[in-house]
Amino acid sequence: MVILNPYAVPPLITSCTALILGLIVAYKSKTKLNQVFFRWCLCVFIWLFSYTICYSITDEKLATLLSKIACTAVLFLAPTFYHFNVIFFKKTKEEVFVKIGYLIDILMIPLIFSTNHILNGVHKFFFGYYVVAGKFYWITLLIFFSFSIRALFLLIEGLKNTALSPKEHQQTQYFLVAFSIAYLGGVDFLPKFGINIYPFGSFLFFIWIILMAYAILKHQILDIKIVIQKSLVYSLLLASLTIIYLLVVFCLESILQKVFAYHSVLIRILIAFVLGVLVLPLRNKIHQIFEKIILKATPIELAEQNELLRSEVAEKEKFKAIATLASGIAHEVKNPLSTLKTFIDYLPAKHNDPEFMSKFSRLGNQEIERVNNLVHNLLNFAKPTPPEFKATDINKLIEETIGLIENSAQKNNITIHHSSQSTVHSSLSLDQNQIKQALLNILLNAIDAMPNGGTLTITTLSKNKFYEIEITDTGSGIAKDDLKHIFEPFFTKKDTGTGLGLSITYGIVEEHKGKIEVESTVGVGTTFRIKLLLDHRRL
Amino acid sequence: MSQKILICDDEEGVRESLKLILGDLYDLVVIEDPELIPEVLSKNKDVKLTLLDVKMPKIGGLDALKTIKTSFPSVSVIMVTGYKSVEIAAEATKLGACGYIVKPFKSEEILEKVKKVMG
Repeated sequence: MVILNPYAVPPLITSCTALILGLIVAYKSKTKLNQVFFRWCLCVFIWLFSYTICYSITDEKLATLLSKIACTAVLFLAPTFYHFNVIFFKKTKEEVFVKIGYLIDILMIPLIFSTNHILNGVHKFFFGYYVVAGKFYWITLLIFFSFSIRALFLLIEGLKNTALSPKEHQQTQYFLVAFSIAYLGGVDFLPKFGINIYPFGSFLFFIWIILMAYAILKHQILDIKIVIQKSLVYSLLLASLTIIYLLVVFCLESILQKVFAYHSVLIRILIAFVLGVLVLPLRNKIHQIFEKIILKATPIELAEQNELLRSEVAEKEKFKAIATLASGIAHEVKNPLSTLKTFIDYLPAKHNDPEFMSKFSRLGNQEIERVNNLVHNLLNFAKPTPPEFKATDINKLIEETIGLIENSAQKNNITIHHSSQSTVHSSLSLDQNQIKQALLNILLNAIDAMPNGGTLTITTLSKNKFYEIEITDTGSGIAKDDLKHIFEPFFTKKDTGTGLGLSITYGIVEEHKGKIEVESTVGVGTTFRIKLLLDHRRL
Repeated sequence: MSQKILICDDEEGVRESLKLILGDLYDLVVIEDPELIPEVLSKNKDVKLTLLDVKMPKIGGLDALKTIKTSFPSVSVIMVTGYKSVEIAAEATKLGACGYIVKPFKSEEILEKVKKVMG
């Protein structure tokens, strides 16, 4: 008979939460790291869920079987944890040891289930049935701790690794703290040797889950994107806290019945009523506590932080663009400088030549004006200004933007073709700097995609209400799986990229009520299409 | 007899500067559009040297260099560019350019390099 005893509640909550966390991580991104993380969570689930039932039943035989299942799951935690670290720190040479770890564990399975040498039945403690260590139980401890210690060593080594990015460094710190706490759950081994102590490892694992959830939320570990993280992990933790609440009610009912031997539906109705009254304020309280403790901020504050972060990084992206711009300008300035220098050189000899003087006067002014414009453009772009929508000659804006990347394109042996099929002199209401930045991000990506040269084609046309800018490169192309993610923040395939360029472009186009589309074929190239609403006025 | 040089640059300032430096010593044909190079060279068989801007719209200087070296192999080419780039210099030399001038140039440097080719 199954009676959920109060001691079974912590492992029940922790096991279910671990499973859900693992599923979210595995579902969100199918990377190897996420898969291994899911396996780890699955082991935690099998281990603690088996004990949940084990504590609550009276059938000794079934308890023995369940505790054996639990121990097997625990055994698999070690190589899985090791595997996780091997992938995270890219220790490909150690992959063979990971396989050996899994193999040893598989070989242990028949020993655990068919003999009494590893696990020797169960003992009834005050909290329920718990497994008793067999003669050779130390073998499992040896396996468990050798792989765990190596894995922890990798984590500590990772902390000292200066080659890691600050983000990876922070992730490593979180992993270390989270897994260290989880491994304190090793105290669960004690009752196996007859020590009468409640195996409170599941509490520690619950702390581990909270930490992992926090790490996922705050630091984007394991590729989960922020919105999904926020909503899912949030509701996940909320749900588990609600379960606690419900179970407390359930236990209370049992106690009341035992103490007062009072059997009546009245208790249930009363508790259900209390529950109904309390559920909303309680949920709000949990919300607040969760926000304060876990997120250290309310959703509004968090949104503000995110916005701040976004604008900070957007600013950084802008400076990257400015650097490109500056190098372009340095080049642009050289032409007028050449002219001025040559004419000044010849001035002493030719100042009596009226033709020379008239040319000098005309070209000199013209070139100085050009330098002035270039510097003005750079200053304008660098100055942080609030978005300002005004009627703009889009063709001119595109010309100017192309001018900024010509230098980089040429350096990379890239030919730029620009053709306009738009017959009207198109005026659009837009923020010049923002659109320049949006185009620049696409153009710079295109240049990066063609390290061995190629062709960059920019075509513009007016179609119905829209003005369409099409940017096509003959670069390496984007894989189909990556294509869906390219506009997501922090998604990058470049070693030095922030993964924000295209997300910023997307944001800018959205802000202009426009549309952005992308098509790409690996090995052939990529086409971006930006559609902006045409202004009815004409310049 | 003065010898003929073709100057192709999309920048008026640069064209005028080169005219100023070389105009008194050589016969110059000055054009803005690199697409006209084959036509101009066919008409002016006595062009011995071409000064070519690396960065030009439509067809770049390196492409123009290729065309010259394929169709008019006897014409020497000196590239004029806005930035020092080992890759472009190497590429230009590989394609057959005999010189490389970086802007902002000195008139003496231009004269020296041109004299070397023109003899």
